[in-house]
Amino acid sequence: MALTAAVLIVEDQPLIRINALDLVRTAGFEPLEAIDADEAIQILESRTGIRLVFTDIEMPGTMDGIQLTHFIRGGWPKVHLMVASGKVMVKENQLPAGTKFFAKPYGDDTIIAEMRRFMALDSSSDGVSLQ
Amino acid sequence: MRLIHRVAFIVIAGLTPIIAVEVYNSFTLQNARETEINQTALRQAEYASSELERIIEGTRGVMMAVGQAPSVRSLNSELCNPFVARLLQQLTYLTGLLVVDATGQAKCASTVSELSLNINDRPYFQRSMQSNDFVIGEYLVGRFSKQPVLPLALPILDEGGKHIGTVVASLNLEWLSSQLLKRGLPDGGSVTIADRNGMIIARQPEPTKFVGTKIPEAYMHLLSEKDAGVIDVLSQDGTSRVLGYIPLDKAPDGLYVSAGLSEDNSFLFLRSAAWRQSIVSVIAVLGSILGAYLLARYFVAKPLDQLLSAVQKWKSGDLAARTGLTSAHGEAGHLGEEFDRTMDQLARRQETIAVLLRELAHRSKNQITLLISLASQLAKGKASVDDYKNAIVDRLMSMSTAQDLLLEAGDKALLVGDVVWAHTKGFIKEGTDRVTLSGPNLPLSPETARYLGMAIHELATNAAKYGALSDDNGSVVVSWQSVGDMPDQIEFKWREMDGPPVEPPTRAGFGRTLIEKIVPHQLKGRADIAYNADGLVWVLRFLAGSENT
Repeated sequence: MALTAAVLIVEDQPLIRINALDLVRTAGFEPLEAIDADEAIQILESRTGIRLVFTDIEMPGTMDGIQLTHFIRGGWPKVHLMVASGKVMVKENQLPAGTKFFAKPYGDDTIIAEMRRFMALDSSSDGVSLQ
Repeated sequence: MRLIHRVAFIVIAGLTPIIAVEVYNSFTLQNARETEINQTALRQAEYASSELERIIEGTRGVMMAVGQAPSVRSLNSELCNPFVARLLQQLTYLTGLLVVDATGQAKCASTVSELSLNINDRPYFQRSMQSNDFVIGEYLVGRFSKQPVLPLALPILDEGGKHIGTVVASLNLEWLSSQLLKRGLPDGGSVTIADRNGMIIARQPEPTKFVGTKIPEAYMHLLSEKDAGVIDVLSQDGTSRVLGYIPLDKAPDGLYVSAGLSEDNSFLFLRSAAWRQSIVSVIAVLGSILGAYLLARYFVAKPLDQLLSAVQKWKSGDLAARTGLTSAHGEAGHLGEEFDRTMDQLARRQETIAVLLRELAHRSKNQITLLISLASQLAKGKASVDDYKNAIVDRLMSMSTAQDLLLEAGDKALLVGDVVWAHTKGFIKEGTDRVTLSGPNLPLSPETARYLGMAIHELATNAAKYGALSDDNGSVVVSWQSVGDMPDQIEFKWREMDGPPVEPPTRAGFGRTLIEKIVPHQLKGRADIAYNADGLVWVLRFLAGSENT
């Protein structure tokens, strides 16, 4: 198990993606990036320590972000999920339970705070220290 | 005026001449029939009159014969009484036959008692004496027979023309009335004969009720009319009649004849025919109006109403409003169908526009997120606000250039050469030939063109600031080709030559991150960068993406 908790950013827009990666760093976690769902799944399968996935909804490739969250909830049930989209009509019941939705554009501080909150949940519940 | 009223107006306007002709026909028919009824009444009177004339002429002939008999001319009662008595027995239509002398004293009679009679005081006798001619008397009741009679008087003249006596015959009025039936009477018809005083001497029907009474005062004037004629009357028995009459001057001298036809009967067939015709006409007219109304309603008014109400509903915001009409409603129905089709089309277009607007809103949110990210990234390592501003403006201009390129290309695929040219031309001084482009026409997907453009922009900016385009000697050779047997895979090379000496950068700025990491990652390719002494070389292998977009 990796000692540093990692956060996977899934976003096809590079500028938005690298900015999100900066937010992960600022929040104090290890940033990982994927352009689309296929790459995200590859990364999830290739390593451990990913505690949170923050994904866009509209992406090229075989899956969109909503499908990706369901896929992750099925394969990695302990991974926390955050979703962002320019679409305001996303319904909470389209997403797996416990998923947090953010309308784009989001505030950097909001995202950082939410990442930290999710990680704090883990450290208090299973006692694993995640730095 | 509502449409339905206009239609009704047109129908009525069309029917009016027909109705006028119908009314005119009805009127002339009624006139013709009235004339015919009048003529029938008059003819009935004439029949009765000629019958009366025949009877009177016959009686006169008998009286002349009596006047020629020698026994009568002798005025010898013993000789002539048996003759008169025998004759009277034969002449059943007479109640009495009498011969008087010039003083009015009876000389020949059928019974002895009659010989005591003197008729000197009777008006008809006096008239006969004065005129020396045949005279028709007035109604009276016989002194011996006690029967109502009409006396007739014929003078007997000797060879010198001297009045020696008078033959008097009493016509049996009961018999006379019965004679009126000989030619028959129309149903409800009547025939009346009156004397010069207006006293009825014969009548059918109901002779006993009317004979011996005077005709009503109101009709007395008919006796003295100059000519035969016809009038409408309310007769004594209460029925309305058409009365044909022959005045005293035209009937056998001293008599008046009239024939009545009950209007109730005579006009019955006429009226019923006229009524039938009128009712049929009225039904036909009402039927036409109703038919026109219903047809106009079905084919014109109702469809137009539906059309109008659908348009009004639609205008007031009910976009689902439709006329529901079909071509079964005629042209207006066609119009409704077309309207519905157009509204369906419009609804589909509006739906499309709504979808596009949502998509646009969504994209603009993404775009804003992107700009926020760009602003955040560019802020790193900037020494001054001016540097920061220039960096932002430069990237925004580059994004704008990429957008223009895509807009100009429209549906056509962008070629690698177009993208290179668009992002380098701003850095080349006019009239110089410092950037060389060489490579085949390879198409790119819009996304690929956008990211390749971003990289070229960063390279060109860098070359203009520090590299081959920063002095007057350097040049850039840009070349590209497809790799091996994979037509979608492209090798792109940016090579700077003869510029100032190159030193590798000491830290990774935004531009370097872009060309070394972001763009290769985004294009699922690989970038190699070499900081050669005579110039920077950047090689990118990537997928054009034009096949799966």
